[in-house]
Amino acid sequence: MPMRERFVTRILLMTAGLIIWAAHLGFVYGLNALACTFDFARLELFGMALNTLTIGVVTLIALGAELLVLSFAVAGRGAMGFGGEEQLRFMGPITATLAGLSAVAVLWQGLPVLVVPACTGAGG
Amino acid sequence: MTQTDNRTERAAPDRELPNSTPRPEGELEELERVWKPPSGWNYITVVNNTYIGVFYVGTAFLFFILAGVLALIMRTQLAVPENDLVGEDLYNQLFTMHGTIMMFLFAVPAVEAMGVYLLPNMQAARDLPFPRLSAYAFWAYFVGGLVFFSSIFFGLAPKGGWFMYPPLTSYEFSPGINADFWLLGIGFIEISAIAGAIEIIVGVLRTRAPGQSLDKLPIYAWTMLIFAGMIVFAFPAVILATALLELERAFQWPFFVAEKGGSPLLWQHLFWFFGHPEVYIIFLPAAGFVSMIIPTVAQTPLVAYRLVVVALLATGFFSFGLWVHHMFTTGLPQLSLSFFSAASMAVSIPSGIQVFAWIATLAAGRIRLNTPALFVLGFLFTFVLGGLTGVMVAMVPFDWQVHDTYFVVAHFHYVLFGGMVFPLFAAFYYWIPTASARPLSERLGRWVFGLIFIGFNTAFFPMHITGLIGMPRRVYTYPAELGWNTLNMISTVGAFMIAAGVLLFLVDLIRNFRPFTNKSPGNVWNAGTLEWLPSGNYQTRSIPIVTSREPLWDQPNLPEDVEAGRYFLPGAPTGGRETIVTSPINATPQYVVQMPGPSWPTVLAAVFTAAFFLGLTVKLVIPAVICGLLAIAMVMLWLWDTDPGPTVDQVDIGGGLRLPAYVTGPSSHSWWAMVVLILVGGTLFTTLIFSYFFLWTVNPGAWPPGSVELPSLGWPAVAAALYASSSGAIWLASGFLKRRKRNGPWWSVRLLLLVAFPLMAGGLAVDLFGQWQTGLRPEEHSYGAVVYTVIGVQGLYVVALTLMAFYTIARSLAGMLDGVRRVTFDNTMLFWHYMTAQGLVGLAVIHFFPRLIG
Repeated sequence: MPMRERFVTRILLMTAGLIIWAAHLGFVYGLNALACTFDFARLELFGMALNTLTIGVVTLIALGAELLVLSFAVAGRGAMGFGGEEQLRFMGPITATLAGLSAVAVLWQGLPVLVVPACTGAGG
Repeated sequence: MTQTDNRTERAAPDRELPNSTPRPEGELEELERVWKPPSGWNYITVVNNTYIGVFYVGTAFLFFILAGVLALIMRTQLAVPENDLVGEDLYNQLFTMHGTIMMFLFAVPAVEAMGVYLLPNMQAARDLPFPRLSAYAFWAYFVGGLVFFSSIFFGLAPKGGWFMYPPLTSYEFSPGINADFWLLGIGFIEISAIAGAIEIIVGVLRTRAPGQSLDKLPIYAWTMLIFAGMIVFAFPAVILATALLELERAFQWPFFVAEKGGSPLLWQHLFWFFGHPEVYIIFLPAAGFVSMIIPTVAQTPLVAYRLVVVALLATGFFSFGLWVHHMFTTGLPQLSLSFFSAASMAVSIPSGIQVFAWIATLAAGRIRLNTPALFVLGFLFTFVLGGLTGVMVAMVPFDWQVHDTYFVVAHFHYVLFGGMVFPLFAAFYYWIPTASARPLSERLGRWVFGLIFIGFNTAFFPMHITGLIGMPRRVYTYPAELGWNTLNMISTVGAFMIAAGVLLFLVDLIRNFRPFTNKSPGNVWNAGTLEWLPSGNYQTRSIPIVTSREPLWDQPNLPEDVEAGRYFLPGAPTGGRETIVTSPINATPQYVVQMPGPSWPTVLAAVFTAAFFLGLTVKLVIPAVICGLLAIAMVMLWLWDTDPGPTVDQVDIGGGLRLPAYVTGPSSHSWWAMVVLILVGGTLFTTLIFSYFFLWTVNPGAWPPGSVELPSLGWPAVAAALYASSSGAIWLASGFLKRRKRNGPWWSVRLLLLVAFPLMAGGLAVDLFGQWQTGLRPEEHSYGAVVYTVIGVQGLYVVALTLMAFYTIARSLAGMLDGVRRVTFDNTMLFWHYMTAQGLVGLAVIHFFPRLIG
């Protein structure tokens, strides 16, 4: 029966890397939009713009989460419920590859914070 | 492992097939009788996927031709400078209709239609699980689409571009009903697409051949699953956007009017949150065609199947993170743009994975250069070029230079025509032998390919240069001295070459396409997947056990055994239409679903749905409302016999396997469909809440605006209590129903449904009146507009649930509802609880957020 296959859980696990990527994009975009709208992008902490710092830290957390999913999928298939039957063994490497790919995407979309100013308008 | 799993894995290798032969006399005749389409006037009510699929694809192709004719008129106009073939007003209608029809009436329906036709064949199901829903989706699209297209003959076609940006398209700058044709006229397309998506998701996950587990699923089915999932999460954004703009146009609710606290950028966010995934919604199924055709033309399995699945999933997700790259010139902060620029580049990785997998498969096998192969090669060449210019426009500074120029026109035609139209032609030539008594002509096919491929590149390659030297898109003419003349003439010549290719394809169709004959030239390409099994109106005679991704290559004698009825369900044991429902991961047989057959109410519901939207468009409100009510009545009529209950206790499908013929609760395919529908509703509501917060950021420090007072907290508290109580009543009714097995429900179930209705309606009324008594009005400021929209959306659920509650009571009174036969009740219950959850979230946002920030 479908519930015994834990379909929803397994699909969510399989796409965990992508879900982390989506959460990261949503957070950094939302935070930067709010920071620029409400003018708190100029606030500083430890000599760095608070906005930049937060985005950097969140990017590192997201990368950590991606690597965690990746390592669980590679080394701990049983722990993630991907052991046993053939079709479940099929899902383990997909989980790992998606987490790896998402980690690259998270890193790539986090890097601009190091070089691009937070609130300069597109025209200038 | 279940008993069924053991049987599934044991049967094939040992050739211990589930059913013995010869089959009992009359079994095949009964199967043929049950699945036979109706004749005479009733033919129009046919629901078999092999008929609806062909009608659907044919209609989509008709719109391709009609939109193509509009393109030819535009190209003729632009062939020479200062041409006066068409004026600017008609030209505006031409490009708007060309884009709108190609995207909404051709591309999405075409790929969805191919899914309706192909998926059951590929999964050896007798049909998709909700055949009447497919028929409804098709007829609403067919009728509504043709009427919508006709608007151009009366000068009533929309003219704001296919993305219809306000303020140009709002009441101030676009009076008249042209824009309404777009906003309301495509309402039925959105409904049709979502209906199809629900059908496809449940169909792919629950009606597969036993053993066709996720790791053996044809790549095309993966693409359609992801495609349908993307529709579920993308289309609600455009539904909301069109509803908001129509509310603004009709009632002056200022969502997009800057001087009243609105923002035109809200439209762009909502539209492109749909619009960018839309590109991949179109592309992924086409990539699925390619992933099916290449292994056949190379006669070797697809290389890196698992990586291709990874690529499809990644594309499906990443495509939702790209919408702002359509807004690079709107003045958003540079850092925000950079996030989306990065995501736009990231999405090229999964596309690249697929391209390399296709090239590797071609290299691993021995390619046969037939017509489908030529179109696939044409696709690879064209799509890769479009992808490369896509990476170029993903760079913010480059995009600023070429934004709204012909470079962008060239880019998206390389992506869309290359990525979807070439694979579609490949798919036509490849799969028509499964639908026609004769395949199409190889000789003509090569000419068709040559004309379209050379014509396409002649038409669109020069546009890169035309754009780079400054020609803006959407201009109806240009002065002679700007240096664009020759390039434009070349593009026009190319466009007519494409038209010649399409015309030749029509000739080929007329000469060779002979559908609905139950005759087939057979597996002409020596393909490996199940759609090439011998089939009739009932699809395959028996439903095979699958042990491979290419079962026709790896399972000897499969076609003969299937046709002889040696596999599962070789007859029609319930005496009606049925197929096997399987589990979503392992494809283990779970139950036999009894499916409805042809029905007039389905067709009429579709016609009245289209009439409702079109009636509203031309301001015939009363007739539109009557059509809307008739559509609802017809839907109820069509549904009346779709919850048959356990007409037989168990069905012997062969191999000693006896399956229930009726299932309720989370295992039921109907439950799955309702959950998907709730996901659609949830996404629409989420985009609405996003709009609320977006408008807040447009009005910092004035949310609500100074003159507006918030209702006291007693109002939301009472409303929340009423919503929660109504759900409580439904929960109690469910418990009562559970205890009453087959002897009809207690009066308490009906009573609780009757009680739940006023509680729910009361919650809405309190919420609405709470706002109204403060003096808040929707037309004065975007704050009021969005608050009343949140309440209005809740109101739509209340209306829908009122109808569902009375429908459920009616079934109870008719003796069609009890503790076992309760699918109808379960659907109402699920929807009810969702309504309550949405209502509570809405109340929390509207009443607590302003206090939190105030």
